[in-house]
Amino acid sequence: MGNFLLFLVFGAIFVFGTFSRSMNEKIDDSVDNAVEHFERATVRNIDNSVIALGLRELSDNVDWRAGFTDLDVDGGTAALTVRDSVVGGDATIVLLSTSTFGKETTSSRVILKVGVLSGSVKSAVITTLEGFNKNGNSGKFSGIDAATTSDCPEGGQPPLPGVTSPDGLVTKDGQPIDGTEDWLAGDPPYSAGGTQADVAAQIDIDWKEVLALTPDYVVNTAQDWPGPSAFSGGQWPVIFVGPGVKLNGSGMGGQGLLVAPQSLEMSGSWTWGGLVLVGDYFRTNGGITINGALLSGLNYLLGQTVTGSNVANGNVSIQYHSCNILESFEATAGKVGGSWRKKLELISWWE
Amino acid sequence: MTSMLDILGSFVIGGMVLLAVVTLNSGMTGSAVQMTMDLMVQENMVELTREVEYDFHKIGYRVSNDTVITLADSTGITFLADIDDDGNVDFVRYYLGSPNELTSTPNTEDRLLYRVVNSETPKSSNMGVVAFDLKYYDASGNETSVLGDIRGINVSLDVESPFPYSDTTFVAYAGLHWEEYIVPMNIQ
Repeated sequence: MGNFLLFLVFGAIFVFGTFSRSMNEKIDDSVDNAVEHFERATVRNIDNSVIALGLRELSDNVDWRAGFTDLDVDGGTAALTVRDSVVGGDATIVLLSTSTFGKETTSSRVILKVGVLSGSVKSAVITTLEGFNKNGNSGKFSGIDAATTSDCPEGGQPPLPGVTSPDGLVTKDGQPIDGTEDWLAGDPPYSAGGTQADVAAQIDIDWKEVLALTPDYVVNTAQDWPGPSAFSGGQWPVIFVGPGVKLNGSGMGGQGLLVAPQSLEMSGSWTWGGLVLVGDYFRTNGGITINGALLSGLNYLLGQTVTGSNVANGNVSIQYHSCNILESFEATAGKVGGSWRKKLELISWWE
Repeated sequence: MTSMLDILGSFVIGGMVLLAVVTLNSGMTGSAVQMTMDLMVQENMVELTREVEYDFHKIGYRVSNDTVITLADSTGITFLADIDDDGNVDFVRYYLGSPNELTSTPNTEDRLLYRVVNSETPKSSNMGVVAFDLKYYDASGNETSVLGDIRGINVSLDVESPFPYSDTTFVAYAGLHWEEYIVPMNIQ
């Protein structure tokens, strides 16, 4: 009987031992599964974090290429390389990350372009949300594109209206115009665009984003106007003009994006290439030439009341030039404010 | 008389020990079956979530047109992405099959989760999926059904074992629920 009991006890120990081993293996596998899932989620978070850190650095400085090596993040490690590349003919920035947590490793590849101000000019060569009076017969406002494909691949755009304004707000020497005036050209020469809101709806430029740009130059007095070197070598700077500044033509001229958050007064004889954006009204005297486009009364887009009157005196020529306008938008590369998504344009994100 | 008592006592004690061993063995077998089922469900879930995460994070990758997600309902999604990173945009579709397709398993709720890339034959295997639920969210975090507004996808997946632990006293299946809010970076 004693032997029988001994046999039973040893048998039970063997069965239990075998079972226990099998169960422990299953528990190990189960824990492995849970750990794998946890590690996978964590390594993804680490990778997202290192990419986010890189994007923040690039947002602050688009020339940042230092990257990170052996960065400790959330109990794991991560590395990030940042390099310039060309994708589809465009200059791009490539971020390559590799992150490790436990047994899991993952990597991401993010391709970006330096963000530029988004938008276009489709409403007219002169678009105003206020009144506009042209004095005298000299000068011309032409919505016929002066740029050709030899200037840039996008040149030779369909003609725009010469002037677009809310109904009935454009006058010549204080008298209403009928759109057949010699100083107007375009398709149509004059476009009565309806209400202020109707004209505003035609404007494809985010004025708030424009005001958030980091300018290359701020002109608070006429003497602040940048010298010729600012425009040499194909440079198209962003220039902000402070309130009350009269750009009197002395040493002036150039190209880029000219922004006046309030009103803009220009006189003398000089030429500007590119876009001119004005928060309130503009006034010109003398031989001003703008090869690009001009938009005024843009503070209406911020919900402000704009009731000023634009005035063009003298031999003022404002000529639609699609290539210069494109250059004005490109001039904002690396100067856009706000989140990284505005400062950097995402081309693709492999994760 | 004493010997008789010894023998009787031994039988009683031996019987109790034998009963305990048999009961223990039965319990161990049940636990082993349950553990095996749990493990199988876990492994299926790990495989499924790995695939879903991989694909869903690629939504919109290298897609230049605005229409990235072409179909989105509660049990299926169709989207564009260069899923294999070869420079060509692929057409990817996930959808849930009918429980009638898996009548050979005792579990009446399990079904196939199909993954289709381009014009390939739909691929699936019986991973014990019983629910695949998708919800779509816009940039403000509100639920949306407008394809162009989708910025985030809440994916929930329920997997059960094809066979029950026990079919004698009550029918119970090993089950696991997984849920993740996926934000595909290429459609932000």
